[in-house]
Amino acid sequence: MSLTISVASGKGGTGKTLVATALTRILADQCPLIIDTDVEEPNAALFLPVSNLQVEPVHRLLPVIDDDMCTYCGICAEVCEFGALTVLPQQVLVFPELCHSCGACAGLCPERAISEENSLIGQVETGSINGMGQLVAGRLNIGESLSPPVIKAAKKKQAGADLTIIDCPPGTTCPMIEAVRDSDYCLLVTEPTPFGKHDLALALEACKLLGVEAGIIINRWQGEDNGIIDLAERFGTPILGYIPFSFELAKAYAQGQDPLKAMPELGGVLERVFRQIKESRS
Amino acid sequence: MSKIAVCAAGESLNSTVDGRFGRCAYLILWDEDNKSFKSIPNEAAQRAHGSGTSTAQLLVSEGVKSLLVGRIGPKAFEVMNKGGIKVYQAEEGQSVQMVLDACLQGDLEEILKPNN
Repeated sequence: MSLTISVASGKGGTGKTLVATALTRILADQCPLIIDTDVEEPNAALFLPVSNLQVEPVHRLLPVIDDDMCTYCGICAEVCEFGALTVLPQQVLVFPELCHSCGACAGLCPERAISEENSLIGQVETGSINGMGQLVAGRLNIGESLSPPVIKAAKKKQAGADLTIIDCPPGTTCPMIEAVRDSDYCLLVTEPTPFGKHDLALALEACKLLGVEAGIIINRWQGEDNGIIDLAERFGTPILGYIPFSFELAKAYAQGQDPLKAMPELGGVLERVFRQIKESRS
Repeated sequence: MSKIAVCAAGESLNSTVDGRFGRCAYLILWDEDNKSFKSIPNEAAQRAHGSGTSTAQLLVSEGVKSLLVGRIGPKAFEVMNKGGIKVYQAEEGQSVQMVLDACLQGDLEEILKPNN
């Protein structure tokens, strides 16, 4: 049975990429696929020995108006949920930054004056991690604001993988939802601070709405939970592990080194986390 | 100058100017030819996305020629510019009547580029 674990957080900087890449390392014998869906700043590849990187472009559809056919009736602007089209008496303005490529304007134009054309917004990078499986990373072009199409394209590369680890973007808005959607399990990495707790609550709520089972790892653990344990109980979500605060780990991570060497007990923590996830699925 | 729009916090000429464009509560449209006004609740203010361009579309569709506003962003400004609607600086908190009078007397400064 295949297994997809998404690693998300709510708050940024809690250790998603640390956990996702370290999990990839300890599960190397199962040849995992790690997908970096943090497409605004994909960095998982910095922490793993990746080679043979192949790059494919990602496009999205944008409306193009045929001025000869357009009667400036205004229906396209009316049906656009995102205000991406404005119809002037003799001109239609298209705002690509607002367009969500839903196709409503083209589909509902009574004159068939709108076609949809591909626009380049990013790329998907695929490579092998020496002795550890495969890596896929989505990368959104600078200046583009809509990341879900690149996340979708990266996740499409998943086909056939037995074990997939998805390194998710922070937050609980569309990009995070797109990354976590369809996972078998969502591993939420938090830190025991008020900010960490606040965003963990949002992430737990998001998992509940998505119907994805969740478990929590508390990173930078120094013995004070700051209400995280209460919060986890309220959602009926287990705390699967604690990663102790460690200056050595932070230093090694900042240099892109193997975190399992900087903190030998991290491997044991993550093995227990993985075992609990497997047990919850059986 | 015949139709002037003011971004307002309420629905009457005594209401104050709402400094925001896309998310202003009401649009008050003054018709200089008939010396009358109508107020439109700005439904676009509730949108998650594109409230600026949607509000701009409303003004274009209503045939507005001048807009009195506190702040306006680049996309809405582009619509105003290409739609031939002149934008004038209105001070937030003043009454709609006051800024309309000032506009008709030519005392308002034109906004020549987006300021938000």
